[in-house]
Amino acid sequence: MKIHPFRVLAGKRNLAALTIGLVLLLYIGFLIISNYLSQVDLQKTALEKLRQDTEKLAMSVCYFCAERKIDLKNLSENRAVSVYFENKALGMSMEYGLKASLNTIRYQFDRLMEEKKFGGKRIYPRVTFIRPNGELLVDTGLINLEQDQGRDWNEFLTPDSRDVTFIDKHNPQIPMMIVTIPYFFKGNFAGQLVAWVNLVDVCEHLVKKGGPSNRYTSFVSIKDHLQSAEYMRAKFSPFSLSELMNIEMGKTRRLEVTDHTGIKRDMIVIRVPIKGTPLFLTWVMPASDILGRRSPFHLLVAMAVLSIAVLIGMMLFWRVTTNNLVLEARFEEASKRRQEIEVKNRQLEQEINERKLAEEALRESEERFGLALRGADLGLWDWNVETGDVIFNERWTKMLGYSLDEIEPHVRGWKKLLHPDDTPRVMEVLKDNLEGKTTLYETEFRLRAKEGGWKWILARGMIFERDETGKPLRSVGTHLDINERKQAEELLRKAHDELERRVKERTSELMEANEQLKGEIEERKRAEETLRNSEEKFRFLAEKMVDIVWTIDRDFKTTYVSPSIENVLGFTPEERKRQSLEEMITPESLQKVQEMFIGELQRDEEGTVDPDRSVTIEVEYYRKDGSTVWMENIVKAIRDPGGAIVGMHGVSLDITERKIIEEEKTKLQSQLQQVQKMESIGTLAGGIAHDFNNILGIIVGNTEMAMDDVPEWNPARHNLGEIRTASMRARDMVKRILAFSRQSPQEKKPVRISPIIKESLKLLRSSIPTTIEIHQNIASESDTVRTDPTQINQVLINLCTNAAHAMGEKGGVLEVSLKNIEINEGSAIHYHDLSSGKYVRLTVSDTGHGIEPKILERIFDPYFTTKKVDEGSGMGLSVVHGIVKSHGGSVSVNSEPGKGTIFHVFFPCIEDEPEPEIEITVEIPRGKERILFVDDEKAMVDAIQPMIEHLGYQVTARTSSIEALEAFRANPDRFDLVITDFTMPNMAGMELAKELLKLRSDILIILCTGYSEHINEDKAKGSGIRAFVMKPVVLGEIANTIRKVLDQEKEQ
Amino acid sequence: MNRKKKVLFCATTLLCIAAMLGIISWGSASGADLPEIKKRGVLRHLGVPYANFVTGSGDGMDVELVKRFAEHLGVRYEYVKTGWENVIGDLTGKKVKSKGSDVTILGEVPVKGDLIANGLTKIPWRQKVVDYSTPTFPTQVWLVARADSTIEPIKPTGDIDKDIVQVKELLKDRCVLGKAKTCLDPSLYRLKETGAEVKLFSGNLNELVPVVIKGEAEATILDMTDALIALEKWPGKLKVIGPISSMQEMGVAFAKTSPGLREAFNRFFEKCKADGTYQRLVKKYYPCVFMYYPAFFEKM
Repeated sequence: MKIHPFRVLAGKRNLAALTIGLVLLLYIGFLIISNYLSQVDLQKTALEKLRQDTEKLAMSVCYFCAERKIDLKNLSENRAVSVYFENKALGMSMEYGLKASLNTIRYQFDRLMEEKKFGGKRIYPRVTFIRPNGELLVDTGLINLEQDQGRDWNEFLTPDSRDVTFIDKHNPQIPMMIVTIPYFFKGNFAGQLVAWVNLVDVCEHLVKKGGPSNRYTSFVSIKDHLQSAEYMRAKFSPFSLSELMNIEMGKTRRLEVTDHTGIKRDMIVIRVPIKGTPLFLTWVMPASDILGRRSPFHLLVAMAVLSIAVLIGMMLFWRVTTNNLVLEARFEEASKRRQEIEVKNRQLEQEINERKLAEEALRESEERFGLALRGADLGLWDWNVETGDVIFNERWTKMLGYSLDEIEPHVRGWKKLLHPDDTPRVMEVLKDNLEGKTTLYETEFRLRAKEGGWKWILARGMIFERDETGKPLRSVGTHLDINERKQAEELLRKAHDELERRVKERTSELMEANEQLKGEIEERKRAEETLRNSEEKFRFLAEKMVDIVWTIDRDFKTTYVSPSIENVLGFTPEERKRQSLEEMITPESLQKVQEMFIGELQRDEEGTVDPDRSVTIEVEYYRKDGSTVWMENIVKAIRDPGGAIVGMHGVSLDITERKIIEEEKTKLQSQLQQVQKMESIGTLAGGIAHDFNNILGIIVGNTEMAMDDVPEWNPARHNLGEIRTASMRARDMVKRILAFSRQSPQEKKPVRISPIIKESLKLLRSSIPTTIEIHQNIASESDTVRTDPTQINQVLINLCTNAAHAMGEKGGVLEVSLKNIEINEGSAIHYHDLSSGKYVRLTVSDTGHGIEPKILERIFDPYFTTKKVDEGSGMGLSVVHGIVKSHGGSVSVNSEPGKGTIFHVFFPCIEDEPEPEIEITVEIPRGKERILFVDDEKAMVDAIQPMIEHLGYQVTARTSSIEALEAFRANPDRFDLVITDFTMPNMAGMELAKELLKLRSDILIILCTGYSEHINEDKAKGSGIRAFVMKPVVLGEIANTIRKVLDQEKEQ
Repeated sequence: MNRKKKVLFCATTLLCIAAMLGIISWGSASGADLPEIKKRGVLRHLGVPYANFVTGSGDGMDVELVKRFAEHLGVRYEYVKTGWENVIGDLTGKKVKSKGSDVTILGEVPVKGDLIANGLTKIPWRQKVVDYSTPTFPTQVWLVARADSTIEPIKPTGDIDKDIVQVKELLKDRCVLGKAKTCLDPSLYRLKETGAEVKLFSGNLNELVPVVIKGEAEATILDMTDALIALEKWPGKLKVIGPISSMQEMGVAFAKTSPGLREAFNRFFEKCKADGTYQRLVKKYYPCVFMYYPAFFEKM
């Protein structure tokens, strides 16, 4: 029996299919089991996550409860509660005072209730204080009417607990959590603070927050109190609610829960305790949300059944497919054979066609060859070298006018026609070709034509066939009639000869003209030499000039510039010619030049000016190094023959020095004006200060008198003290103003500068924008300097004001520090202008825009400023420099643009102890002597007279020095002391003193003077003045001075 | 005889003229009435800083009340600061001296204000020289002592008169502070008769408590309102012993020549009570007073 190959193939495929099917079955089984296991894991994970979420929620409730504990704790520590018990302990009765204390407690309770809210709803609906006997002491009010019915408040008392506790009480209507803490006064139990918290609100605001309310339900209830979950009746049936409340704590359970409509649902329930409270949290959610709608086992079975069905289907499909394959293979074999026969048929047809085409092509080729020969007008010959026979074609014979019959078809016939002159040359060519020296030959010769005469022929030929020894057997070639070409060549030759003849004739003519031209060139050379000499003279002049000579065209392009430009501006003339006007001059000058040019053009067009005029203009040019130079240009127009301006020429003169002198002049004028302005400000400040001192005198005087009247315990005394301090500060400010305007004597004395700097910084704070932070590091141990405190103040204020200005609105950090520096011989090199010794270094740094290096050297120059007009005089740093130098110190600056500036100021330290501040003594010296007080200002008299009278003295006051003198003259012994103002009309204080001393030489005189008044102490004392009192007059100061002068006199 | 008659006639005429001038001058020297105030466009409030009635800082229960009254009248409000010594004179134009319930006119002084409102208690001598509005505030005078004082607070009996007797019995040889010419004038309550060492304070009323705390006196008499503020301000440093007077009333004082202004105020005050404005002011400045005098406020 023969086995069909297709059956074998099908049998093998079935085996393979079976194997694949088994493998597939195993694989599907593996997938189903894996899927089952992963489903189980997912459920576990979901439950674990649910438990964690529930615990998180419980934690948030736990935090909430902790906050409530803190609230109660704070309330129990509130002063209002203890005050009540203190007052009670003092024996106060409710009717007389104690009730107010209770009200204060109630107020605290109300405040707690009002402050602690869930959104707009109170956390505490009620707060009470229960007495140890179970009575309510304070109660903010009932939550509902039935709440307190039958309630025993003793149940709330927890005297044994010192901490906040949660009592698991509840209200049948509203589930309430109660937070309570015992209160102890002086160690004894004094009552219980109790606050209610609504569990429903806790649920609403803490527990439900964030969850989709329809599917999840979570609620808080009190442990072991089913009623505390009663408010969930709206969600669950009573039975289910009871079941939920009995679930073991911390466990996850799957329950069938009946909702309020009676529908049973498969639910997952978790119940967790809330730490530190009797509360627990219950979370209920549909099991399908956590575990899915189908269990993993069901899924496993369904998938297995599905897989088996799929496998059976696949096997059936495989069998049908195999049969189909066998049929398809047979069909394909038959198709292949039929295709092979068709291919062979097509090959035969193609060969037949190709042969036909080749024959046709051959025929066409022959035709084309014949046509080509005819077209080329060639005669052909074919020479049998052995026999001498030659075959000529018809054209060959016709070329000479013969017919074929008339020419002997032998080489002899050709030779007969050959021109005798050409025969030797042609034979030589033929010989070379026959001997193989040439493969192809080409030669021209003449043949006799039938009508007589000779025809030029171009012959080409080659050996076509040779025998084995190389002997030529056959030669073929062509003849071409070139008779016409030969004739044309002859004509050309003749024409060439004629041309040569004529060239010779023309050349001789040119030779003659050349000689003439040479003569003319010699003459022109001489003229050029003369011109060059002249130009060199001018060039020498232009090149040696200091000024620049130039010409420009109408587009301001330089057409000529003298080399002197390189000395003045650094550019070579070639470089200059490549520059545009914008590159040559500054933008301001460019505008000026353009305006000048346009103006001149207009005037030119109007015809009102001399066309040959020159214009002078000062222009600021750029040098090659980028700096600028001022030049005066004398410019004239260059015109074409028609008079139109085509350019300009001019001379530029360096006027930089002149400009500097002019600027200096302007600057000096400005400085002069500034000095005059400062002088007038100084005078004005002096005048204002004088008046202001008088006003301050009145304020200080009256304040001090009032202070004397007001007892220590009276709060008004403190206020008066504040007025006095402020007035003293105002006095210092006046002093500063006068110091600035140079009208105050600047006395240097040992002073500790740390307090001055701290005080100045306090004052500065109010004038420096709040965007600027002021850091101070005043850590100097030895800070005593011989100085005028006002000058230290002035240095600091100037430096800090500049720093603040540098930082501007953006703000930054202003740092002021004070440190001790000791400079020895080794380190002195690092400090310019300072010798070795001890110094105190004041450093002021800022984070502002910094100072450009190019102006850094000029900042201490008087009137140098980068500020706008009205922002600064340019004197600040100059004054600082002056003050520091006058102290034997030094000032240095470090600055970097964009980073900030640091000023270091060095003052020499001294060992002397600073002079103690004059303190107002508590005991103000008094007396009963008689005093004449003179001041031209009535307000001053009104202020000072009662002040002195207040000290016990008998005062006679006068507002005119003349009247005072008259009063004194009337009875010189009536007065023990005279106090007089310095500046008075008609008769000044000094003059009055002189007159008084004339009347009574031992009269004691005290001079009252303001800071603005220049008075020499020695001169004054020489005139008999016993003491000075500075305005504004301070009670303590004048009391001490009067007493001192009077007592000195008594001692003497 | 004729001459005698002539002299008598002239003297009688002169006396009549003098009497008329006196009446005219009394009238013209007293506080202005409503038309004049409206014409002037300013209502001048005489005030002495005291308790929370006039704090001295620009506010206070009476300051707010009078400001509202000025607004109600359509005139500008102006506060005129005065002292207890001069407050009556500044309103009436008469310098007066009180002794118990009696008052003596000593002379004339310039009028500086149109009404007094700073917790002015109705006391007999004042009622002789000024007219009071309807009562605006209840009060009582209490004896307040330093916390460490040996004077023990009384046990209330429920009878105010018995309570006052109890308090007065405790005062023998005790140093008690008061202030003359005010409602805290010890003579009004006959404290000297109790054997107490009565001290008259020269400072203002707000300084009585600090002086007691400092130890300059053992006790002082205080308006109940002031005592409540003191208890709040200095907790644990004071104790209320008990009452010195029965319940009193405070009101806004007007010159006797200003009946129109007084009437206008009474109408305005009724309106404030009706719309709750007054209760709000009391709650703001004296939240505890409702507990002590519920009856007074229930009437409102």
